[in-house]
Amino acid sequence: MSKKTGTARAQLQAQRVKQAEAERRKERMMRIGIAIGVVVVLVAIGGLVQWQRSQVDTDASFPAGVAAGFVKAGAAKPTAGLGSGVGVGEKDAPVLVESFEDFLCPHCAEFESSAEQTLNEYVEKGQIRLVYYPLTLSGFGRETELAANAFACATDQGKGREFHDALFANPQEWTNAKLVELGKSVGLDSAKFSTCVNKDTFSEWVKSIDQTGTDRQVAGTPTIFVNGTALPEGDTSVDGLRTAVNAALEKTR
Amino acid sequence: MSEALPGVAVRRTGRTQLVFDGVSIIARLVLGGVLAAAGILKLLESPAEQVRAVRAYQLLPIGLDAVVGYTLPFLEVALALLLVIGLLTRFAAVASGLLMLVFIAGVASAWARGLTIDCGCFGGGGEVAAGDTKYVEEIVRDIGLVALAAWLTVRPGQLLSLDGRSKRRAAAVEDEEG
Repeated sequence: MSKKTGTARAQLQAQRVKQAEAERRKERMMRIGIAIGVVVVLVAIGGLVQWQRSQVDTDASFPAGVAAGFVKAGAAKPTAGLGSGVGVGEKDAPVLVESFEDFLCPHCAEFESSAEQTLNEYVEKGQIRLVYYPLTLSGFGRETELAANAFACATDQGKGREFHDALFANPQEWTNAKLVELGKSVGLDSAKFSTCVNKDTFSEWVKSIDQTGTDRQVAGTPTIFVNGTALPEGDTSVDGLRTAVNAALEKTR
Repeated sequence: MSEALPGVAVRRTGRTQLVFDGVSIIARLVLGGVLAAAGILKLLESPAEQVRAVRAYQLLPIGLDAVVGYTLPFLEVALALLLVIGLLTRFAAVASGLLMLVFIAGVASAWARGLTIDCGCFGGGGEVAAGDTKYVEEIVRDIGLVALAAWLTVRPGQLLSLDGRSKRRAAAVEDEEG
């Protein structure tokens, strides 16, 4: 074997190895490309499913007594419907207080136990219009969704505020039977109420409230808006509330 | 095919190799497990809540935060799946590591801006009381996960993985041809 052919053979061998290496690299890149493609498509489909899940059936029913949320002075008042909270008090009261709370969130119950009376007093004096938005945080499970639906049923029967206060006074793992019982304690003993509770009549409205919370950039519960401005984070106290409401009342004078 | 090909590291001695492979498997399972838990726990919650958790960081414009809220859980589950079955491990490790760095940046920025939020890493999220933040724990945990991702980027490992299986099969074919 001459030296020349030996070198040629070695060169050929090296070239072949190089080629194989290049091919392997190409194949690897292709596999990664395909994988990225598959992952991106699956993630996009998942995102669309989530978006679909967050949509509210626009034909769904909502309780009588919903109220439009805060709009800037001069802007047209939107019609109340899905996504609107439950209004309490005089319609043209000077100050609008909106509360985003979950019936099972401990901080909300704490806030309610101290602030409820103050709020109700303002309502009775005709100074504020109070709008409840019952958020349903997944962390509190199905129970809080049932409670929110029952609250809508009570609102539909004209007992929203009473039922709201009763719910916060007795936080527990709600079942429809317990909610019907609670209704009796505030004078709701009609078959209409229990049917509404058991049939989950306003479940879509409950979902729409969740969406409103997101739209209003509510990041935690309780979140209280006074004329569209949220009370400072982590400082939803009665005093803070009173200060904000009084300042808003002052402005309207 | 006994001589080392150019560009291919010389095989380590059996025992070290085995230990390295073992660490890689554990890293894959831990990183994949944490990602899977994070994704699945988020998916058990309502989509609106995911958007709220993202929004609590006050970093993304409205609209984009919804996109992140809707898709992030699936991205986490997809990466977890790749890591656990060991398919394209290095790619999945790089992506997971980058994701963790983004999380660290997000939490650190929330902390720096004085927000009091839960990271929402495993569902939940949103504002919490000032004393209830867990920024240090959240960042330390994510740094640990970045370390695992870095290890896997360097040593994806071959044992108990689809990558290893296809490579072994390719090698077997080559041996036959050779």
